[in-house]
Amino acid sequence: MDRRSFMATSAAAVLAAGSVPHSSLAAAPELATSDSAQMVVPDLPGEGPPYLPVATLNGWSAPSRFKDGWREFHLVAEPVERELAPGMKAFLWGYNGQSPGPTLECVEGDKVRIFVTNRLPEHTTIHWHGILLPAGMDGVGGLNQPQIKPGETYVYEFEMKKSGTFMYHPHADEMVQMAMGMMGFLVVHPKDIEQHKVDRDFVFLLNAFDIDPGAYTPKINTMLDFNLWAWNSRVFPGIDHFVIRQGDRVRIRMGNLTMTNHPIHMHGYHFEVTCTDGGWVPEGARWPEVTVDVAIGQMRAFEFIADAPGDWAIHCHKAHHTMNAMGHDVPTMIGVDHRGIAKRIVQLQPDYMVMGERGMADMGEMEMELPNNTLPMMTGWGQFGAIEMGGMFSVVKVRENQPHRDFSDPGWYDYPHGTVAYKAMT
Amino acid sequence: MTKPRQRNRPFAGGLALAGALALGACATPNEEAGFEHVSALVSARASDVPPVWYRTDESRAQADDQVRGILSRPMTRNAAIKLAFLRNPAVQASLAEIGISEADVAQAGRIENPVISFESVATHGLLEINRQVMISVLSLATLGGRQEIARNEAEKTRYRTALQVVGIANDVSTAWIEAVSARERAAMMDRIFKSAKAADDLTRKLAEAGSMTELDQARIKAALAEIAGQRGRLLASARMARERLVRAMGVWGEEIRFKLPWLLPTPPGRPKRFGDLEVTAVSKRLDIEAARKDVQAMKEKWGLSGFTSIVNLLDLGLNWDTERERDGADTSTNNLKGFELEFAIPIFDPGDAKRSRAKWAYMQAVEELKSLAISARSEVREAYIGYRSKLELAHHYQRTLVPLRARISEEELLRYNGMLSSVFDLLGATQDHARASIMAIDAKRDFWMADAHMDAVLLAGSIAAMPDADETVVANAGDGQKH
Repeated sequence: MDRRSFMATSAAAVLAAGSVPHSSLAAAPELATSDSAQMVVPDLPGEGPPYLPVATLNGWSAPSRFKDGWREFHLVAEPVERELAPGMKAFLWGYNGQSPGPTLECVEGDKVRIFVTNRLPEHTTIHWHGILLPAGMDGVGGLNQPQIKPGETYVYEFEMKKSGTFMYHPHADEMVQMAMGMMGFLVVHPKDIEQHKVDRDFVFLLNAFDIDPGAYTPKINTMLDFNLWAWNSRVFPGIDHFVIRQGDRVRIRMGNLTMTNHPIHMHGYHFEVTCTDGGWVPEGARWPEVTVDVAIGQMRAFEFIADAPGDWAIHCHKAHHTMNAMGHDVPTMIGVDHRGIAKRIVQLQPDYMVMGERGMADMGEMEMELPNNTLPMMTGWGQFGAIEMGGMFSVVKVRENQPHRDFSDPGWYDYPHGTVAYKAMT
Repeated sequence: MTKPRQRNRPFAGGLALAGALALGACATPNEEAGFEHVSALVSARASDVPPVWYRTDESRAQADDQVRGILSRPMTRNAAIKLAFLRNPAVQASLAEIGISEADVAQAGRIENPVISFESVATHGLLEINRQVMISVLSLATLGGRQEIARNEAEKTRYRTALQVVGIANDVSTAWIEAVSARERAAMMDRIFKSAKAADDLTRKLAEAGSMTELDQARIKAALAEIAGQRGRLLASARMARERLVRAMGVWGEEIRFKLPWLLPTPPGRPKRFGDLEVTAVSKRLDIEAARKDVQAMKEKWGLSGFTSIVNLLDLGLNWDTERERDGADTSTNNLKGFELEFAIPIFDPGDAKRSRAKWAYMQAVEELKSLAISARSEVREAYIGYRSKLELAHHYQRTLVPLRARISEEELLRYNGMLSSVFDLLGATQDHARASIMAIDAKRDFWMADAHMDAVLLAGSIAAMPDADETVVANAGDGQKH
């Protein structure tokens, strides 16, 4: 075959492919990836309409570039390694090096073009949850588009019609791919920067895994029996703290891609729910909460003025969601004095130690040898002792002297004298 | 015992030749040589432990010190064989065969005693005195043949005796292996029992605190009951096996209080090199050697029967007669000398039946030797397969299975530490570990039995193999742990 006919053949092949992109992979923006679970808050945008970038817990925002009036992103779907917390890592699927994928930030009215390259072993798509767009861009494999086969790059193009709180996730082999950790946040900022303005804007997704203690890969057939409950694929004590300057107006946004609902409770404040993935809540309709329940597939954002300084717990109020992997078929040992029997058990298994007699607090306090790649069920240390938590738990740190737009961890709160619960004299 | 001494009787010259011959061909029972031979045969096949034959009362007393030494320490397999050799009357009974056969050899070297007859007849005036000496010329003529036969028979007896003694040593060996392994097994079962007991005690405390249902309690108790039953059975088996060892060694009284080691020795890392098994068996086995001597003896007998079937009586008599007649005052004396020859004429019985019989006895012995050799070759091949396969199995359980169960037990502990599993799961894992150890103990026992059997069929005789350890005894009981 001579050169001319080869070129003709390949052009014909491209034309025959169906969805003809006027841009090809070669035209996609350069891929940016992340290899850590560090929170990286982007600087104010250099070009395009202005907005205040969000802080993604244990994550980052994808860079974008402008080309002929379109804001372009490049996502690559690939297997990743994610540390869930120090001491445990998981083999997941995600985007651009991590699970969850990078947060996509844009502005109401933007024409957005997203290149999606598939490096997974199977086909995939991306669905833009909550975004109003042409049906063909909705990303349900088989229904709106052919699936993106491994090695292929597809392009999504649509205009952001409304500002709000959204997310993206696969819609091909959806249960498996979400069980493996594929998801990411999507924020559309208002055209007018003064509208819905806040000083700090935190975003995260709720996800869950079923990983056997000692294994690394989640079980993908699990329907309800998850054992690791995560925010942005991190568990306590690995979840970033919400660092806030006292007096800031704060918005915290979350989306639920687990298989159950989560009542997210923040201590210390009464807040108002101001946004869902269906839109902003009108001022008169903003309802007050201390615990906002997020059902499966829902997103919620709440706002408050951070006028109470201190270290405030924020967590899912389902008690077993603030635990890492637990044993469920374990009999209750409370009140059972079995030290005598323990001596005999030690003769059979020399490293045995009595546990559970006084509750489970031992777990948090004793440093026991665990199976490989396994986190203690309850762990974490504060300035007063063991915190005994896991899973969906973090701390809201409000400090008087925290600099503006500075998210570096200030350490534990220095409680003013006389404001800490104290032991009564006997 | 004192050896009978030959005394020369003063006969006339005609008998001097016979006398000289008798002297030269005369053999005394050589028990010492017989025993030395048997002892060498036995100790080469009984772990270099030599047998002891008590022929005097002092030698029995000397043994007491050795016995005391054996009883003061845990008794190894060789010590058990030694104790049997020192004390088992069955060994002495076997060794007595040497005395019997050596006596037969000596007897074969004897010529029949001469018969002397003396007659005195008196009638009126006449006195006749007849004196006769009769010797069996046949017994003289057949002396060499009979001695050869007797020596072969004696050789055969040595091998048979050695085989019997080695058989006793082999019985002691297998009984010792069985007794020690039964003890080891029972001790490991005890571990399982302790674990199940701990689980049971724990359930009682849990029930008191309200944390366990009656159903779960009953399940764990049932598991304990099953395990307790198995433990009882193994303990009883161990004691009975010990008694069988007592019986094999033939001891009684205080001497049944020997100590046994806790463990069977570890099997060797590599199998022994045996060289050419079939050649060794056919040339060295005691029963085959004995059969060879048997063939030899039958051949001699057949040969001798060629002569004795025709000449079965040949006596030579020498007579002196004195006649004294009194006639009034005259006394006349007559001295007569003469000889007599007696023999039977093979008319009615040409002796062919006797020859035929001897021939067939010989043919039979030949065929029996062949049959024995063919069986022996197959026996060693079979024993070798058993030996190699059981060694590998013992290694497999000890080096692969048991460490895996130990690892499982460790991992189960880590899960327990993480409150991911319960104490019952942990105890269940220790029990599984102990069960795997019992399988390893049984495989070890089976190997040592195969080892003893290999030595037996290679060098001694056709001794039946011991059956393998009964695995069903420890089959998974106590699954009620996992409620």
